[in-house]
Amino acid sequence: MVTDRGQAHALEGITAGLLLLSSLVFAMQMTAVTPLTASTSSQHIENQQREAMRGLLATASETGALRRAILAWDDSNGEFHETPSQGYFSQGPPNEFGRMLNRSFGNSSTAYNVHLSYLSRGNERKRIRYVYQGSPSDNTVTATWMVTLVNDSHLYDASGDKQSTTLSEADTYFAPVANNTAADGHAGPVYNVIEVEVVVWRI
Amino acid sequence: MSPDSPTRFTRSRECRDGSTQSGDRAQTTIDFTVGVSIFLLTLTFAFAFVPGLLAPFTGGVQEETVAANRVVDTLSQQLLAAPTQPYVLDSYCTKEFFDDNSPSECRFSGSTLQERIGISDRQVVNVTIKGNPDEGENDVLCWDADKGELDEQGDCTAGSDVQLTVGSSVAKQTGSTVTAYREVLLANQSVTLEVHMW
Repeated sequence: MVTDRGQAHALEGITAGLLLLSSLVFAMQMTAVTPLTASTSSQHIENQQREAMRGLLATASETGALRRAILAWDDSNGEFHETPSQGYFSQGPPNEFGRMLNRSFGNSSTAYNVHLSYLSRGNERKRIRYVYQGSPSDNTVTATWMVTLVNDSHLYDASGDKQSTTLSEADTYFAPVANNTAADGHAGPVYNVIEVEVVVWRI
Repeated sequence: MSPDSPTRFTRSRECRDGSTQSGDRAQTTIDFTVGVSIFLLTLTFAFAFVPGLLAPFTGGVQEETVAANRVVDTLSQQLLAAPTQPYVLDSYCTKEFFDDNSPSECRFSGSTLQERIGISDRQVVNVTIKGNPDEGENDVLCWDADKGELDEQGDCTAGSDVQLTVGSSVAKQTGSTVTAYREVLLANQSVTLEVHMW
């Protein structure tokens, strides 16, 4: 295709462009985006969220707010106190634990879900939604905390006062009595072990 | 015609002034335009993209990110709280830490803030405790010595009140800062411990 006029064909232009791009892609293999490079959801932010959530769960468990939140069950309606019609909360529930959640993670750039998982009668782990704010994104962090409930735990009412009903007398509690019969046929004092799982992500 | 006749593929007309035209080659000016413009566009893109390849290697706040995380971990789990009960801060030692003292019964020691938290003296740092005891906005807290409880920054005016913030002022900083935070328990309230570095 040699001519006297030195004029480029379209095909030659395209080939030269492809050559440039492929050498650029080849050179990019030597660079890297590190985990700490700033972006909307870097590793640093995820670390902070996970540790802050773990600190919040430890704090809530230390003051007893977590246990009181799980036991704030309305036995006559079969749900937690003041649950909206959809069956779960869409922000912090109206108790001390919910206020702590709203203070720390209730801002406009963070979303969280809280799941409560329990042992069912068939010895499987099942879970229910306590707070649900949507399907989590790909960059979520999780923190869990275990709360042990005994048969003599009292339920709490909507304003946080202890009631006289105990767990063994509650009819509609979401977790059943776990099978923990001792060798001599005597039922143990543990009612169930609830795992509180909090999932946090940036939006 | 014989197969090796060259005139079959390279026919060109001889003009009167001696130059040859290639009107039979089916190449027009548009062909040239497309080819050169594609090439020039790709060249411009390559030149504009190369500086971005070096971005991860320029100096950023990578050191401060790791240091801030370590400092807030140390403060919330070892220095201000008992290691057996992390995230539960001791009120007396926390108050002394923010008052720039190092009592012997607390787990930190040193004469400057950088010495107490274990970073180099050249590093600029700010440690703050924020919360909202009155259900308002998240605010810097202070320890009200008369009432013996936490309060918002503006409500502590007495000389014995301790502002729960120490280090250089964050408001005067114009570059990029790194923040690490933890949720802790102080005086039976849930507060946020923040460490800023730049």
